[in-house]
Amino acid sequence: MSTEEEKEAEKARKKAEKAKRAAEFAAKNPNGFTKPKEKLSKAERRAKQEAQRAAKANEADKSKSSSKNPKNPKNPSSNVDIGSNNDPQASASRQVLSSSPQTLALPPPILNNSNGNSNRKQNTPPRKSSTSSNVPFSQPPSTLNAQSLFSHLSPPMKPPLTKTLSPPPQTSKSIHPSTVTLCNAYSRFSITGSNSRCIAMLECFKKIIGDYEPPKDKVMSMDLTRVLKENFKVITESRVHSISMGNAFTFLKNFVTKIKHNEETSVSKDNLLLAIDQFIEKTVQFASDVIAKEGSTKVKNGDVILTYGCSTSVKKLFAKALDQGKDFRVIVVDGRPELEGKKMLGYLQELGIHVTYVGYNSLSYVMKEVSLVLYGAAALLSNGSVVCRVGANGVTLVAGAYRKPVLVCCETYKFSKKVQIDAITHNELTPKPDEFKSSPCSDWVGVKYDVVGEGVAGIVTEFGIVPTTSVAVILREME
Amino acid sequence: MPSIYSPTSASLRDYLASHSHLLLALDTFLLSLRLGEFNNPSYSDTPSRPNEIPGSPSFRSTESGELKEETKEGRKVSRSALTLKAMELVRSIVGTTKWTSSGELLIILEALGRLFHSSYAKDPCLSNTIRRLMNLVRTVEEDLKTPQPTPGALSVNTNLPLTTDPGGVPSGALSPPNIISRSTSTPSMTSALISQPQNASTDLLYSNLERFRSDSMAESPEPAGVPVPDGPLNPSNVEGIAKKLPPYFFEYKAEFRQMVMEGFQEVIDDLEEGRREINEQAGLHIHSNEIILTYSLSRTIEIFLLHAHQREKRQFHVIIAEGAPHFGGHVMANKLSSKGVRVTVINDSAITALMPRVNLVLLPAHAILANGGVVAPSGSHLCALSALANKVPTVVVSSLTFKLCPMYPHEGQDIMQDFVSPAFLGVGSESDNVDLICPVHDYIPPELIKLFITNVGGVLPSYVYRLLSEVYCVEDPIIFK
Repeated sequence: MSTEEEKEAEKARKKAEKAKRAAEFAAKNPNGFTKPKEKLSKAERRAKQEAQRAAKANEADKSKSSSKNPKNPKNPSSNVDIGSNNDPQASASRQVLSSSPQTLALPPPILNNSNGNSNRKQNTPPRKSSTSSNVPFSQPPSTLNAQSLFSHLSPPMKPPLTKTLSPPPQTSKSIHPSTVTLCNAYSRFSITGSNSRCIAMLECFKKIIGDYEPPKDKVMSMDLTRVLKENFKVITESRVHSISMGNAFTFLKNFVTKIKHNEETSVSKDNLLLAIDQFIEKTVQFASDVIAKEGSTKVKNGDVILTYGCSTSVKKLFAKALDQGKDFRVIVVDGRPELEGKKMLGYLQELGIHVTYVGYNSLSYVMKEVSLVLYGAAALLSNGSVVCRVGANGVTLVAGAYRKPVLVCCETYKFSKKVQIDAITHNELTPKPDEFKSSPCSDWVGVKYDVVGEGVAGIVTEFGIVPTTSVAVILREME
Repeated sequence: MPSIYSPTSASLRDYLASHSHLLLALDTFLLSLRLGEFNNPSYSDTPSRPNEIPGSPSFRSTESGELKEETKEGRKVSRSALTLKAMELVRSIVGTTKWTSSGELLIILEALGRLFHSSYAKDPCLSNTIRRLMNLVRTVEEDLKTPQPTPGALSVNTNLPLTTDPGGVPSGALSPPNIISRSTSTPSMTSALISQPQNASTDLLYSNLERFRSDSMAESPEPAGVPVPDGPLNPSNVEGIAKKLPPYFFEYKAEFRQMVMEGFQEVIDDLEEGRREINEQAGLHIHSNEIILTYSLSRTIEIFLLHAHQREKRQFHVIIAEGAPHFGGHVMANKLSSKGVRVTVINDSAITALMPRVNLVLLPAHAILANGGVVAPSGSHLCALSALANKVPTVVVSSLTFKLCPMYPHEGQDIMQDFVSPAFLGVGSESDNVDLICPVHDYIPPELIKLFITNVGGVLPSYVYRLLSEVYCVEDPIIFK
């Protein structure tokens, strides 16, 4: 990170602290004796309320994420954005910049339409603060818009502003440059897919551990855990972490805490690096190889397999089935705006498999000739819900209407103890596509994931093909 | 004035030969049908944005974009407007030509139906309208028949003796051909009851009526402009559906023309008023703070929602799925939000993810089928499936006047199917081993539909068959071929 950026971050940090002190002061003196009343602006009051609420929420679901660590609830800037963000992590990077008093004084952005429908650009810091202090709060509470539909989800990250990645003040020294690179890749969506994201994160941790030198007065296991946690937090700020990343991080943390006090630093580091390599090799890559083998047994000659999105294990499965000399063709269904299926299309073309490539609207039309539906999952929850790329639930529904079997490929390291029954309560919002940014008045909303509750015939895991209801059992066995 | 015996294009042209302005109007109309000028924007033949980079269809909000859209809409009209135009053409043909009996009129209508079908097969609205008119003709004829026509009443208007027995069977050629000049503009009714097949038609160039000509006619072909014989048809010589008609369809009835023209006017009024009747129900179906999901572009749904918003003062939120490949949802969103309706556009793939929050799904219809199923824009089948999975009611908002079709979906998703370029996916089809498909329609089975909101009120899918028998006659062709 350049010195200029550091300076800026430092400046912003000071401002944040100033604002924080002011809010604390205001909280202690609710009548505002020593402070002129107008200085405790509406936004500040609201921010305080929000911060308190966030703290409460945070307490309530502490168990939710391994990486959660409560923010100072009094921080006035922590939730200036719309009050929609209960997740302190997500707002951590933005608070630094958004708390500037000048930005609060900015006029409302021109972009705001008459409805006050959300504009996704609001995560540009200055705009955000002015949006929050003017538009959304002027609406009656019953107002419905995309913002209120998903007000419980954190707004999508703004792609790459290195500034927003400036680390929280007290941790700046621990943030590794490769973390910043990784964050940029995540927030630009240049690394997608739960496997790739997880592997990229682990590679990043390998670099951090490789460069790590424990301070003399500190215990390595404790200090390294802190460093890794701080880096992980910054990573999750660039984009909400996937369950695969969360699970991999938990594994790493557990391993770090087991480091013996008397061990040589270099030995511990080597052990750690080896453990990470083994995790990538066994838990991620070997698992998908086994899945490909297991799943290919279900491919018969003459099959027409419909797939959605671009999953590594499904790719491997197709290659495996082709190796076994099976004669089948594939229908790749793709959903806008990402059109991830194009990657799958390119891969299958290279393999020489006959592909029919269709848009999402053609789903019902092509389903008739399909004999098997296959797609990959981002996570499997212990209530049997499959978390996968948005649109996969629709594929499952149409397959169900035509009585076609649906198999989902998922490595067991993506299994999670969480439960979820719809895609709204927890999801990730996507940034507004460019084509809608110029839109005069309509609002746009997009989510990243779908939750498939039913209609899945089986999950292909490295332990074999099991029904979705077995997830809880497998999780218990794995412990 | 020739008579028309066969519902073929050639015989209709012969029949209209003396009315050059009608022929011109008909040909102009058919030509614009073939050129796709009446294609509804949401069902248009070509991808809506051929000039833009595939894969990134930009929103039509830039100045040039809006201009483009306007010129497009200036040319392209909605299907109801198209149907109206067709109706008016049919009315002018039927009102001007000198047919003498309901049988002859049915042949004219069937010929028009075939012409429309051959020019514009993918849209059933024209065939449906013709079928509706044919049913109207039948109903009027039956109404006239039920009180046994009194010979006296008919003979008032004719100089010739009535040649029918009470059973309605023409007694054959009893009177000589009555020659009238076209220029004299004598009402054809004066020569109504001649049933000489020999005199039926004159200058037949393409028609297969040649074989009906008598030797004497063949010997002395009449040049154009010379007075031609005019008379009722001989039921035994007609072709098409008229073959099955009972003989009394070929009798002359004085008040028939008047009644039929009034009926035509009623059908036209129906077309014009249909949306108003649908809109009146808006308040019954949309409550406040509702989240409504709709798919792609539909003028009927747009007006329906606007009515609820502006007249009924309902506050609601509309989620619009963009509806690939035409992305009519973008246009719809712009239209609605410019009128103050809260609108959110989503990608088609996000429909299932958002469905748990939706209270009501409104779907447009391309056609309503006999079993209560619907042909709708491709992708809407998923909407309905997802709604059912979440127990959200799916309501189809559509006028029945020209969308109700008498056919059954034997072909499944292939019924009335049409394909367009999948350019929006941004994949070249030149690569080997890759097929690209982009269907335009989806068939939605009736069990996914909770209700139809139509111009005749709320209708259950299971009740559609009954409506069918009211507006169409089973003997009329299901497809005009």
